[in-house]
Amino acid sequence: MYPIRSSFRSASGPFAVGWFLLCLFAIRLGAVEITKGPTVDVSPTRAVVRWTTDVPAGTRVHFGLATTTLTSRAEGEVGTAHVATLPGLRPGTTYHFAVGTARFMLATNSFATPGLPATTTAPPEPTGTVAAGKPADPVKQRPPPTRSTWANVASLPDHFARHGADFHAKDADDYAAQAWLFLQRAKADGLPAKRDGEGVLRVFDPKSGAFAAYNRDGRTKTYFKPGRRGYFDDQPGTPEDLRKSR
Amino acid sequence: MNHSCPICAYPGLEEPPRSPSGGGSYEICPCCGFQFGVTDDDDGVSHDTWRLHWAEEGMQWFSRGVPAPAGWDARAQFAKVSSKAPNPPAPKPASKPAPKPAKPTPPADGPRPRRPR
Repeated sequence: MYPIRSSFRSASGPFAVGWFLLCLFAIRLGAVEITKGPTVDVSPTRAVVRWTTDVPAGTRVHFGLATTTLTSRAEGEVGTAHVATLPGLRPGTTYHFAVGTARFMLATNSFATPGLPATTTAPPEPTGTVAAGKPADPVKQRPPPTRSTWANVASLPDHFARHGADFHAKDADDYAAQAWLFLQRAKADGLPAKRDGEGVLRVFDPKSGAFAAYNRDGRTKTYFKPGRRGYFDDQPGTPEDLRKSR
Repeated sequence: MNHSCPICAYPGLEEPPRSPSGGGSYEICPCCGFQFGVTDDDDGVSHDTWRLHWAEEGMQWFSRGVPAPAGWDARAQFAKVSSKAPNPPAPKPASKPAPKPAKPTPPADGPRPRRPR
């Protein structure tokens, strides 16, 4: 504190006021409070923790596999909006974490990373931006990687080239992501759907005209807007209430 | 991958073009570009019409994501169904990804073609 006091004595006018405000700021740092969050954006091997504070403060996350062993650390920039990325996580694992500054831990919580996409029949695990400890809102979920949502990845460029413009998709991954989100929205809103004897699910949105077909495991076969009225009605399958399958 | 395309005879389709339920596979043939359940059921283009169009366009490999098999011989493959197509022109090399073929005109009594994309 010596340099501050020394400068304060020799300062006058605006400088004195500045130093006074700086001291107030430093004092308030000890009373920093979280105003929002923390929320966790999870993927199988990575998590992004976000929270906001009432005053500018440092960004630090301690995390680990148990509340008593938060031995890993991630840091971010000083400010009121805090973001810290936790890399190198294990898929399908629960992590505990504490957020705060270099000096104070302000909140603790936990999250679970989704498992890696199965290569056979398991449906892709949804990931999303969620308030830690709360279920995800399906409409706001972040799509998993394309390789786990598109049935035949090698054919995706062709589907995108042919149908991507229907949805203003900017690239093949965006197109595949929109197809996955369409299924999540269909489940949330109960869009018309039918499933055939092979387990293929066909979904149609009468409002937008979008149609998609998904394999039994939930991976997308195609996604486009039919030009012919009645196309969905002519598809095979029996009606299915998607809200019950959520 | 043991299913043949009924349009171009490409033998590497991932699924049968039609399932037992009657639905299209929605697979886009990487060779000729026909999408089963869409090109026919939505665009109203018949197999014969698409085959003729593909042949007239030079039997180019369609897919941008699935490479042509090593030593792919379009003419030899097409010979399996060539009885349905009149005098196909010589195929073009498949070293470069082929552009999407324009939608062929459906038969006069067929359904309206799909809107241009």
